[in-house]
Amino acid sequence: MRKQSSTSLALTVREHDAALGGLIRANPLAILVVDAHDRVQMVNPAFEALFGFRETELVGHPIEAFIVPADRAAEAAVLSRRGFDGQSARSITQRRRKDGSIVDIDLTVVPLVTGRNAAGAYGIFRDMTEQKRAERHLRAQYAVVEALANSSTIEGAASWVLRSVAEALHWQAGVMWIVDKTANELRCVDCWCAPEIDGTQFEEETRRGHFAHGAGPGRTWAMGRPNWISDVTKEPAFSRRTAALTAGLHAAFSLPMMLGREVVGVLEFFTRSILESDDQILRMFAALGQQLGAFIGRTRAQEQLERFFTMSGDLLCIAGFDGQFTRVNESWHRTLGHSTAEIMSRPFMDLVHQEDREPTRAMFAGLMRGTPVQAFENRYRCKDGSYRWLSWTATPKPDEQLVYAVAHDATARKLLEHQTQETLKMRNDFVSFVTHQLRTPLSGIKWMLELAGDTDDAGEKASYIGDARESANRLIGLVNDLLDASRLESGKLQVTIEPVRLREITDAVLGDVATLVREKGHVLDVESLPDLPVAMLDSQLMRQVILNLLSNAIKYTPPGGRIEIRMGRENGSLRWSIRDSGIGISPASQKRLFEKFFRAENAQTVDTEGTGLGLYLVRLIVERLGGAVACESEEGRGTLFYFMLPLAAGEVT
Amino acid sequence: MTEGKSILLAEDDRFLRRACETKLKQAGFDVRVAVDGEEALTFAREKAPDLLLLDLLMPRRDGLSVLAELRRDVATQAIPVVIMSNSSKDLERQKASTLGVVDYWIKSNLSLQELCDRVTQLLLRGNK
Repeated sequence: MRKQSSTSLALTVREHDAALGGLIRANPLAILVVDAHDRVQMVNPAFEALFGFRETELVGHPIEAFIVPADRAAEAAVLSRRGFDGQSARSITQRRRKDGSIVDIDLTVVPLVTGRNAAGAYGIFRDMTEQKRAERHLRAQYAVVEALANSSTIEGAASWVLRSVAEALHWQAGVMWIVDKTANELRCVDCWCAPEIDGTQFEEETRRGHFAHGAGPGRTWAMGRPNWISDVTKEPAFSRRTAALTAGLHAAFSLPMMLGREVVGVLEFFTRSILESDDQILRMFAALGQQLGAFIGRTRAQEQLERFFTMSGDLLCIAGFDGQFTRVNESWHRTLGHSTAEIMSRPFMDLVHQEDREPTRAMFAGLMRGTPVQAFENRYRCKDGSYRWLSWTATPKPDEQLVYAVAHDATARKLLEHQTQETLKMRNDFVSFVTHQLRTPLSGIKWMLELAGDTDDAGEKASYIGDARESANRLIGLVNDLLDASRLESGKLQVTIEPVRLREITDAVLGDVATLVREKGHVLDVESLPDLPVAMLDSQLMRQVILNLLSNAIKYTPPGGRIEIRMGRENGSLRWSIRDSGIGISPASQKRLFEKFFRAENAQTVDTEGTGLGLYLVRLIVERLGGAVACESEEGRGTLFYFMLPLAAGEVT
Repeated sequence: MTEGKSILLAEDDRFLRRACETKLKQAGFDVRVAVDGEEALTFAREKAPDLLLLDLLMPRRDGLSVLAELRRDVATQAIPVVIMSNSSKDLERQKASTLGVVDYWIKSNLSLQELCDRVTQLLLRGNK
């Protein structure tokens, strides 16, 4: 067996290669040929390109001295041994370039056999950098996606995002900045430093930092595109230079988080190496910036909706088909007074007014069949036991077994509707009532005049005309009362204030009704303080007040009753009162006694000519003169009316 | 002939009562007057009139209640009743019509002569 020299081995290989059309030299894979002593015989141009060595530098020297990192020496030796033993071997490993950088490779060792002996070995290297990088990027992307999926806010996701990305890239620090629109600056959301660096100072300074538009990471914000610094410790404009130096950080890269065309934040990553701009990293980070920006956009949109949900004056809720609320907004508490927990803890039907439960059940059954609801109204119980009217709009979501509903507090509107209806009814009642009240004296006038015209007897004629005149007076009285009420209501009634002696007015009115009192056989008792003060009043209006009260007392007291009038002073006011032993007024009627056109039930049975204006006018006048009127009564026992009026200035002592 | 036919006039307003009573008596009717609902009911029960002219808004008992009471009792349920009111409320008209009335007149729209003529016509028709 002839021992082949190294030179001849190389020659042999070259000859074979030439015969095969430059299979080795032209191969895109890096190929190395070593002899049995592991000395380089030849390398192809792809090898030169991958490792940065010229073939002439290597030939004749043991290969491990050049490309095997210290930690891979044993593994390299094993591989070579197998090749020399005539076996192929393969390893996913790392080798060193001439510039010292490490490259991931897929290495196959194939024995080089001449005759029957292994004379050396081929080493075939496939550059795995791209694949490895792609794997790391994929891992980082996955980590980011996972972080975002598990968080509802960017603050919650920040730490995990920074760490995953930095670790996947073998970088040592990451910072997330968010644009604070109010302060118009960047605010640090989070900062992550790898445990292997001394990042305490760097992290502290970073977290404290606020950067204006255009300064520090604010430059990336201003530019709207990524920015690469090969060594921050050499960058005078980098404010955290000393801290970076302590942490051993050099290359830095920042990129904007984009929401559409708006920069909503900035990411910064730092590494211990001094690195020139890397297109691969640039591309990957750009995608990350978009992804995070979109996330911020989504969370903001969600926050906005959430804010609406919280703020809304309407009652918003989500209810399950099981009849329980699954979510209610603050407005429920604000409107009904129950705590949110109380509302959620029981079926919502518990809060619905007893009378509204059946229609509510029917409405909810419709929702469960998929029919949306609009303008449904029911009453909900408040904490204090009162009820509020809610007007509902609801949409079912059968696949979720949920109902989304909005309720508007319609209590005020309901009340207004009710009042409007009452007002309308009152107006109608007013028209029919006034019509009736006007027609009656008009008929009296008409018929009396007809009778007067038909008779030749002078005495009869005069009597009929007398009745016609009385009917006419009644009609005028009614019209005047209506007019007075209307003027007092609108404040247009002319009031003449002058010193008035209430006793004198009372006596004058008593003179007017003396016949009536006598006819009914009432006993009248009038008492007043001897030195009753003078009041500043309108005497005409006061006369009307006293006449109305006195007429009522006479009218609604059965014959032979007792009427007492008292005048005095009380708490610096004039007090005038009238007590009768009449039919009295029910408590329900007392409440409404001073309302326009209101007539007590039992008053109607005594006389149907009343207009329901007398006491109303009394109240309007007394109030117009700065006083107040009230009534105390017991049905069947009698009634006390009294009013208080302010004294004239000189009389107040 | 309508001479001597009995009419019960229930009217609380003294002027209207006087006018109607005078006119109908002049026409030869036997007129009895009631000043409120209770009186009207009492008089109608005492002696059923040939015609009851019934006001609605009256003290103590309103006209509709009087009418309802009369219709409830066999002795009085056939009394012909004309409502004479100054109220034009549809509801009252309906209620009266349900209880059974001959007619419903608005007082202010009639002259005494027209009133008297209508009463005469009604009672003549009742004679046939």
